[in-house]
Amino acid sequence: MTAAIITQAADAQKPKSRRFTKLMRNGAGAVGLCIVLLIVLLGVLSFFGLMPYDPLAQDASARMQAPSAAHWLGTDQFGRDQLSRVAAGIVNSLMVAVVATVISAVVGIGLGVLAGYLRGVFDVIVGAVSNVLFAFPSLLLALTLASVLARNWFTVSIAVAVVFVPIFIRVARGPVLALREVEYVNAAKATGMGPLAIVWRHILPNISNIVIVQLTLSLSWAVLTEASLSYLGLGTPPPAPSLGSMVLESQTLVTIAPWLLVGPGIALVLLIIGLNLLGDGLSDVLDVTREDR
Amino acid sequence: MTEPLLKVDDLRVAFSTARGELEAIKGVSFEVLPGETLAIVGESGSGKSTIAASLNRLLASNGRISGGSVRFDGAEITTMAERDLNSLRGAQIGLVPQDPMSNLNPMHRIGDQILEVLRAHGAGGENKRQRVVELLEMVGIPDAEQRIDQYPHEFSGGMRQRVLIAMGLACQPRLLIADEPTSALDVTVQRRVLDRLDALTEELGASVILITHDLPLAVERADRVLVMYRGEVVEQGAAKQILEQPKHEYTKRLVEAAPSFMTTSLVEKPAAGAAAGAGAAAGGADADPEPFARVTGLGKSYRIRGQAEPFWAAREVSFTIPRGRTVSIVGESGSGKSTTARVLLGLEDATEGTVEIAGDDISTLKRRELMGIRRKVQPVFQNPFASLDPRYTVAELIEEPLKVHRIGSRAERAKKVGQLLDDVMLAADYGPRYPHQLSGGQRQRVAIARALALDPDLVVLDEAVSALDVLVQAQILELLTDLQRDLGLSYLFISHDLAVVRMISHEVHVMQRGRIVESGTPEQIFEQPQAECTRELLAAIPGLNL
Repeated sequence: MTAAIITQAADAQKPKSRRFTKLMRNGAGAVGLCIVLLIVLLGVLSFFGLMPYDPLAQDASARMQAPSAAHWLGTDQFGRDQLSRVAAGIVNSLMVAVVATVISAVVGIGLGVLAGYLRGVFDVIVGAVSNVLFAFPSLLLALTLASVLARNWFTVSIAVAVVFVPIFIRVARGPVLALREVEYVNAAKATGMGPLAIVWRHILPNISNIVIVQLTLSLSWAVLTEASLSYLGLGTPPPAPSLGSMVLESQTLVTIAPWLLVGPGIALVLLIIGLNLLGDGLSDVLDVTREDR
Repeated sequence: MTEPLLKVDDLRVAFSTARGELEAIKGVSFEVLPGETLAIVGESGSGKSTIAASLNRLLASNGRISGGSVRFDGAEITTMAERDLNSLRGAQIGLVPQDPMSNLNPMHRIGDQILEVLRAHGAGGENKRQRVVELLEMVGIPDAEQRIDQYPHEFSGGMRQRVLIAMGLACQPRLLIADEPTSALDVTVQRRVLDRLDALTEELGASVILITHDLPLAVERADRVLVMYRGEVVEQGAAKQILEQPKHEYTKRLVEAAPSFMTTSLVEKPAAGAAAGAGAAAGGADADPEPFARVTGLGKSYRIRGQAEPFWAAREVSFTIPRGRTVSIVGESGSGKSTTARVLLGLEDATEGTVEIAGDDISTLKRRELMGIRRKVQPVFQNPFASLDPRYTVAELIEEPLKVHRIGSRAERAKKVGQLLDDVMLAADYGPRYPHQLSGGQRQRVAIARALALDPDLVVLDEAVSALDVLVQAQILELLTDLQRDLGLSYLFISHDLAVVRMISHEVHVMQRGRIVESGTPEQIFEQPQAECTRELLAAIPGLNL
C-alpha cells in the first residue's frame, strides 16, 4: 500500500517523461514521431547547409540525370540536385506550416478562450467572425489572401493562418464553456481571482491536451495547404524550392524524368502521415479522462 | 424450503488494469428467494455494482468472472452462450440502472425506447403501443397517452427514473436488479419512486436486488441486507437484525454513522439565552446584536428565452448568520438554496434585496473593498472530483488564495499550508500529491483547507458532504464542528438532507420554490414541522422511524 502511494507520487512528479514513455508505447504515436523526426532531421541538415549540394546551384553538365550515387534523387532540368532541393523544400514547408500554426493557435485560442469565458457580446462577435471565415472554402480563402498579399514565405503563412484561426477558436471555446462552470473555477472566483488570472491558471492548462493534439493536426493541414498554394503557383516564389512547386515543375517532365515527382511527393506524403499519426498518438496519450482513471 | 431464484456461489470477478490483475469481488455467495427483496449495501468501490453487472454478464470489457457460479432458476449464467443470455436479459432479469440522465437515449422518444425492449423479446402482444401506455401508467406517469411521444429532455429526473423502471419491468421479469435507482433524485422523489417500485414488484411477484450505499434505505426497503466491504460480504441477514444487532465491526460503524439514526447533535447546544435568540432571529426579529451576515429580501431572477416573465430562482429570502453558528438551508433541487449561496459568495449579483457582510452592504462596495470582503467568505462545494484543479498539487491549491491576496513570503505561505493541512488532519506529505491520487474524503479536506487559507469568518458549504460515503461524511462533519469550535467559524450549510442538517446546525431554514417556508432550530423543525414541504422532507428520510 505504502509502496503503491510512493510510486504514484513519483509518477506524478515527472508526468512529462511518463507521457513520453506512453507515447513511445503507443504504436501510431511512436511511428509518427520517428517519421517526423527523420524529416525534420533532413530539414535541419539543409538549413545549416550540410547537404552535399546547394539547392539553387545549377549545373548544366548534369541536367535531368536519373538517380545515381552522386545524386540520390537525380537532378532537374537545370542540373540542381533533387535531394538537396527536397530537403530545402521541407524547410520551407515546415517553416510556413509552423509559423502559420503558431499564429493561428495564439490568435484562435486567445479569442476562443476569452469568448467562452467572458461570453456576452464578445462571444457573439467572435462567433460571427469565425462563422464567416468558416463559410469560405479554406483553400479558396488562402488563395484569395495569397494573391492579394505580397508573395513571400511569411505572407503565405499569414494566408494559411487565417484559414486555421476559426478552427482553433472552436476547439478552445467548447471546453471552456464547460470549464467556466466547474467548481474549482468558482472557488477561484470566490477567493477574488480576476478573470485573466483564472484563464491563465485554471482554464488554459486544462485545455492544453486538446490544444496540443489540434496543433499537430493543424501542422499537417498547414503543410498540405502550403503545398497546394505552391502547386497553384501562389506559394513561396521561385527559385526557392517548395514541395508544392516542385511537384508542379516535375509534372511537365513526368514522362521524361519521373524521378523528379517521386522525391517531393514522398516527402509530402510522409510528412503529413507522420504528423497525423503523431497527433493520433498524442490524443490517446493526453486524454485526461483515461489518465486519471 | 423454496428453491432460490438466484444462487450465487463463491463469485469472483477480476479486472485487468495497467497495474495488473485486480480482484474486485473476492468470493461472494448469496441467494435470492422468489418474491424477496435483497439489498446490497456498501461504500463506493466496495464492488456492489460489479456484482450487479456480473449477474447478467454485462461487465466492463476489462472485467471477467474469474471463478464461482451464478445460477438463475437452475441455469448457469457464467458459462451460458451469449445468445441464450440475450433471451434472459430484460425478459427474465430486468435492470434499472443508476443514472436517469445518461441511460435514456436523448434522440429517441420515450415510448419508442420502451417499445424496443418489448420488440427485443417479442413481448407485449398485438397492441404494443397500448402496452407501453399501460407500463407508463403503471409507474405513475400522468397523461401517459400524450407523454409517450415526448423526448427524455421533456421529463424530469424522477420521471426519467420511472421510465427506466418501466423498461426494467416491461417484460415482467422474475428478477429486477435496481442499481442505486434513486441516488440521483431528490429525497421526496426518491421516496415516491421507491414506493412505486415496491408496489409493482410485489404485484408481479418479482424478486428485487436493490443496490445502494444507504444503509437506512436498505433496511427500510429490503427483507434481507447484505453488507459489502472491499469486494467481500462482511455480513448478511434479515434487515432488522442487521440494524439492531450488527455483528461485524464495519456494519456497526455504518449503523453508527448513519445520520438518520443519529439523534444527537454534533454542535454544542447554545446557552439558554442564545437559544432564545436563535429562535427569535428565525422568527424575523433581531435578537442577535451583531450577526456576521445579514441577508434581507434577497431576490435573483433569470430571463428565460421566449418568456416575458423572468424566472425567480430566489425571492424575499431573509436570514442572518450569527458569528460562530451554523445556519442551514434545506430544500429540494430547484428550491433556490444554491442560488442564495452563490449570491452570498459574490458569484452572482442579487436582482433585489441586500447582502450585508460584517456590516457592509456588498453591492455598494468598490472592487478593492470587495476583495477584502471576499476573504471573509469562502466556499466548499459538493463534488470532490470537480472542486480541485487536477493540474496542481495539494500544496499549490491550498496556497493559491494566499497568492491571490499577496499574503506573506514564500516561506510563510509554505508554513501556513503545512498548518492548514494539519488543521484538516492530513499529513504534511500530502502536499506534493495531485488530487487524482486522493480519495473523495481527502479531496474534500483539501477543499476545506483551501477555504480556510484566508482565515475566513464564514464558510459556505454547498452540499459539501453529499457526495461522500457515509463514514467519510461523518468524519468530515466532525472535522467541520471541531474547526468551528477552535476557529470560531460561521457556516452556511446548504443541503437536501435534513438528517445531516440536524447533526450540524444551530438554525435551519427550509426553502421551496425560491422562498423560505419555515425557519427554526433543528429541534423545532424535527418535532413540530409547520410547512407541508418540511413534513414531506422529514418523511422522506429513509429509516427515520425504524
